Amino acid sequence: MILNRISGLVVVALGLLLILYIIPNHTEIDEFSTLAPSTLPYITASIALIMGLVQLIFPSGKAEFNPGPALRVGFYFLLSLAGLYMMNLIGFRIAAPLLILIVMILIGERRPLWLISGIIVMPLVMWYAVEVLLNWPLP
Amino acid sequence: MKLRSIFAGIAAAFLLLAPVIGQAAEWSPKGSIVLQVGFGAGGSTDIMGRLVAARVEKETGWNMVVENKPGGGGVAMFSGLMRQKPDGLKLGLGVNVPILLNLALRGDKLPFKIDSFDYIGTILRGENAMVAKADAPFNNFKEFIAYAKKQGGVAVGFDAKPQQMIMAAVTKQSKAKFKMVTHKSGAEQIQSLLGGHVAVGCLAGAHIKYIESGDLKMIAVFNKSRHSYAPDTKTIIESGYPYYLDPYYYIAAPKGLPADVQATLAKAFDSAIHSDEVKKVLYNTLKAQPNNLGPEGTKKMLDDGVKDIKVLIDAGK
Amino acid sequence: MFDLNVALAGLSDAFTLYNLLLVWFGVVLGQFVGAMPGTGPVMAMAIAIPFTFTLNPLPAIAFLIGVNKGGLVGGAIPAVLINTPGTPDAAATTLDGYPLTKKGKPEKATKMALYSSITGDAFSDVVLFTVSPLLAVVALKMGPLEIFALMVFAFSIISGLVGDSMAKGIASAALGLFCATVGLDPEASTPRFIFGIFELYDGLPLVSIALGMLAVAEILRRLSSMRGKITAAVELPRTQKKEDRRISWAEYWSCRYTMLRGSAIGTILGAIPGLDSSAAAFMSYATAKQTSKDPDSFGKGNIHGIAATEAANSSVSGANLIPLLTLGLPGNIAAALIISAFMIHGIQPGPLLFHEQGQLIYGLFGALMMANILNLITGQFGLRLWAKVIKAPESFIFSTALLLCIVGVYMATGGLTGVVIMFIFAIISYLMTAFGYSVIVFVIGFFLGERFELSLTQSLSVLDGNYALILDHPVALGLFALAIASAYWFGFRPMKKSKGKQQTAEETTS
Repeated sequence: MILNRISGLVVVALGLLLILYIIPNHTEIDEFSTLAPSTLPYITASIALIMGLVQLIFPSGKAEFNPGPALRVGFYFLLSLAGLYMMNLIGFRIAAPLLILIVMILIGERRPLWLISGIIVMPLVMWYAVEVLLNWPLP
Repeated sequence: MKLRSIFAGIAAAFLLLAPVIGQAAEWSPKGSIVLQVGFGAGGSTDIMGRLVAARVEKETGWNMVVENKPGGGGVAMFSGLMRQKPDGLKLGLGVNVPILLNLALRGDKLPFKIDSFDYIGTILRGENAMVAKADAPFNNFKEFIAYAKKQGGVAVGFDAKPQQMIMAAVTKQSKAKFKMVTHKSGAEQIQSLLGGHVAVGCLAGAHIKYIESGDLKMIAVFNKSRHSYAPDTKTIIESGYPYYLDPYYYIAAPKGLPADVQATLAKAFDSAIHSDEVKKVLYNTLKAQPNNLGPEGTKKMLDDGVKDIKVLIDAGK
Repeated sequence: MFDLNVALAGLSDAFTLYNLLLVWFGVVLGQFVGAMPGTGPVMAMAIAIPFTFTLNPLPAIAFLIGVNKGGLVGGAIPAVLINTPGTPDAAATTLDGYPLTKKGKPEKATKMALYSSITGDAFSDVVLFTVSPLLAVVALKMGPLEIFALMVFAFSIISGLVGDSMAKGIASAALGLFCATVGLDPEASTPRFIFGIFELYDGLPLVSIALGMLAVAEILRRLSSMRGKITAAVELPRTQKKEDRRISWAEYWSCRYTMLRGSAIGTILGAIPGLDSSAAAFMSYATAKQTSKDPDSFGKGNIHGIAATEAANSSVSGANLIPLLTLGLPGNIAAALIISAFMIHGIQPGPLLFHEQGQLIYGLFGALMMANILNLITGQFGLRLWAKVIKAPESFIFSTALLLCIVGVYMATGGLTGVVIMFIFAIISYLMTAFGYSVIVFVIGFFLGERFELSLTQSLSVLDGNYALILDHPVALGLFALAIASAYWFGFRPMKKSKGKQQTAEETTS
């Protein structure tokens, strides 16, 4: 129940942030419009806000949050972003196998054959298919 | 040994021929030329870019790569393009209208100006027109204005902001009232026209086949000059409203392109644009003739465009 | 009107070995790119168009149709096998496809997807060649107000998917709708919420959201649960019973109404230009669930869930050709690409096409049938191959899938920005799932959002403050009434029921 209340609180906070700061500062006013650019954003943010309040006061539904797995998900998220940053820096051909290597080692894969398929073969196949066959540049 | 001498012979032959071939192209790219298209895969700009690039590749033997960089009608693509090296290997294909409009309305928020690029040329001019269903009770712009006044407001379809701005300027000058109904594309406007949901639409090419089939008729031309397929339809300038909309598909490169590179690229693209293959497709799809203004002409068109679009914005206010 | 000679000539144009090979090549290519997350038939067709220029019109268009139809089947494969939709259309297929795979019946699940996809496709092709002029006229009458009413109706049907908390469900839908407003507004074209990122001018990319929330979130979840112990991506029982590996006729037949309903929904939505096939899939799924005798079995591997979504999204592709062939209006991007293939060859799709190009039209019909049959045959072989793939260890499958998502979205959105957005929404999806907010409802809100706002704007412009004009639109009024009824039927009634159940359950336990 406490988790449900917390989630309600988060939605309320998000709704307030949208309505009070983000929508007024990140939309423009246009004199020709029948529906102002900010109208639908305000409506949807208000609905979310009200539903967040309902959830805060009358919590309902399931909620289950385990910090352990969540931290690991966060870690893989950051690892992937780091991988993307490396791709931008040194290119797909080096960064992609590196990212896959780290991921596969971390989740405990040790068999050389599967490691080679995941780290060398698959990125190579993708690179070949996209860059050579489709003539589509990768980072 | 023998094989080697054959290769040497072939190489020598090419060296002899080289000056002949070289006259056409003094500069030749080291690596692939990437043509970035400012729209998503599958749009008319994308198809145009892929066709022209394929033709350039066929004629020059350069390796051409087409890359889609959609976002803001080309704003995203040009923002990235301006930061590239001006080595002739990175080019961009965009449409002038959204770029001009963004420069005029929120130029301070854009990283680039017209001077941030060197220009290669244009592919064609889009044909903008106002059209109505064949049985509409008006036949030209004057009659349409009169009809709108009598009705006290008619629904007008549009799919690009400048069309809306032109109609705002017309409202101000004529006091006729329009209900401007926005659309996602020309095709959707035609759906609304045929279904009777709007009285007229502002279209940029999608209408031509319906004019030919007799389902729709021309009311006015929004371009500076009349259209080849409908020579009797007047421009709105001729009808007394001094505004126009000339969408050009143009190719640009980052600023600082060496003169010989620019000249070679301009020549290669000009030849591809005017090839029979590209001509035929442009005619079949858009009923348009290739229209290449060349490097200087493109720059001038954009410089004039910014001024004229500012006039248009003020006229509607 | 109907000329047998023209029809026969057209069909005999189509059934040549050359065309057969081209269509087959298209189908194989389509299934392949469809099965790669992020890439899809649209991208394959866009790349192929300059090459089709050298072909004659019929083979060129037959090839493109092959790619398109192959893609619809291909997209479902990874959706079913690893909970990663290959194309946004297949997003709803994960709902029951993946649970069935987890139960150790991946072949059953993929086969159901294949068969229902082919069924829906065949249905819409038949409609296309029998009553399309009629349907096209009806579709034309759908103006802004009617489309807006239809969007409201779609939202009301989706309320059947919100889950056990109405407040959370509505909040999810509202936030999904909010995310759809990122980018240029539909009327004034002013940028909204772009924070200086020019790629956001066109809105948050659909593939980034769909793959991020549905695929990458699942991949991250799986990666985080693997700690040293590597198993196959799907644990299959050592000896699979034969009936778990195939779809029996009885099973197929039991889904006939589900598939028929899905096909009808897909065909109707597909005939209206501008509506999206993923919306059709979700609407079909929600309807199938609510009309089922056992709605609780949905989401747990019910073959009806797969049948409903795949029949609906596949029938959209045939139906998209209805406005295309009769009026020259493309219903979606894939249809727009087919139109440009027509036009490159100097053929103008439109009101006169059936009349002027009768032979080509019947040739096209032949090509559609070939594509359908080849899809079935290629699919049969392809599925076996794909089902073997998931026997590989999950360390390999999920790290490869992660890379595929990155490459696919990079290609589809033209840069790394789209990929970063995908990862951000993966995290949002993870948190939403943890706190019981429906990701599916959020995604649908996002999918429908753009069209919702556009038709709302259009309606307001048309009405121009005079709301009494709504009375001139009986279809819109009817749809609004239906929306209210279905919101009650799908949304509130089951909620009450399940609450009642819960209460009795609590009473009995206490």
